[in-house]
Amino acid sequence: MRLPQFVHVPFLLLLPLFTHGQERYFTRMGEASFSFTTKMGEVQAANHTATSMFDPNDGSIELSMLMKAFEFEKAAMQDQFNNELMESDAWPKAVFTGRLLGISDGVFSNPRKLSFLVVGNLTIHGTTRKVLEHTSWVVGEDGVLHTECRIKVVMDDYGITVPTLFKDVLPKEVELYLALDFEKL
Amino acid sequence: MLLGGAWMAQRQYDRAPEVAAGKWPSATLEATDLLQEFMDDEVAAGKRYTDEVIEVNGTVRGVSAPQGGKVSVLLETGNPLAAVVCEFDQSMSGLVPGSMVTVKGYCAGYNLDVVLQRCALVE
Repeated sequence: MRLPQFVHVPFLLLLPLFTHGQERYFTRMGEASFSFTTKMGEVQAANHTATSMFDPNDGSIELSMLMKAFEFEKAAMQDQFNNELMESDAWPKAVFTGRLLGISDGVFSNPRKLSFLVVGNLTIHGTTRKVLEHTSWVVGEDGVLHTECRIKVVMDDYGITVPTLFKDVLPKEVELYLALDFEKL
Repeated sequence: MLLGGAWMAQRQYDRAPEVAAGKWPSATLEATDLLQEFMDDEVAAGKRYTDEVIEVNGTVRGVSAPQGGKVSVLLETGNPLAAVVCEFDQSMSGLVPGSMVTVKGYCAGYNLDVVLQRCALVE
């Protein structure tokens, strides 16, 4: 499904600050990264400004990140990523909206390690695909929720066309790594 | 000569993304006004500021330095849920909440916050 040109995600602005049940969690410093190996060496990209909201009452989670906030070691790679692959001017954000499966009341109340499946919709390059992945969680003594997740992104699934020049260089899929430290709103 | 050309091409390919230090900003404005422009018309503000070096004046809300990550300085915007996030590659330990700063950086766009990257403090 192709979304309108600009995916405006005002999810936080629309949500009330006070809700029934447990408080919601938020981060604006989420890490999203990926890497792959080419004949010319390792390519790494990282984004440290993913915003995300998590509601422990129903397990819903939303995440949004700017494609142009992915930073590469080399400027040429960053330009190619934004201009030739992701078309970031037309599709400036990647968005995930989903829900943890099988959570129970109060499960995030005490320090512990947890794991859940998350199911939801991931939109990249204006194309939305359903994803189902494992997530690991750590409830810290200080109340911070740390979660990690790896999502397989197949270029073709999201309509990302690899220019002929790079067809033999770039992988057909990458693993997007997400690490989020949520604090209470 | 051929070798020289190849060396030049490789050197050009290997260059790191440019930083804002030493760059002339295309716009100078308050953090509050920058956020407001994006909230009023995200598309128009995106066209005006994204990929540009912009200079922003504001009050420090906080400094975040996660392990292994960038140092992020958050500027007040008058909106408790939104900030101008300025990413630095070096320590900003001298900055404390409430201090007034001028920062310039490359605008990456609006994602609830306005994000500036490869920033430099303006003295």
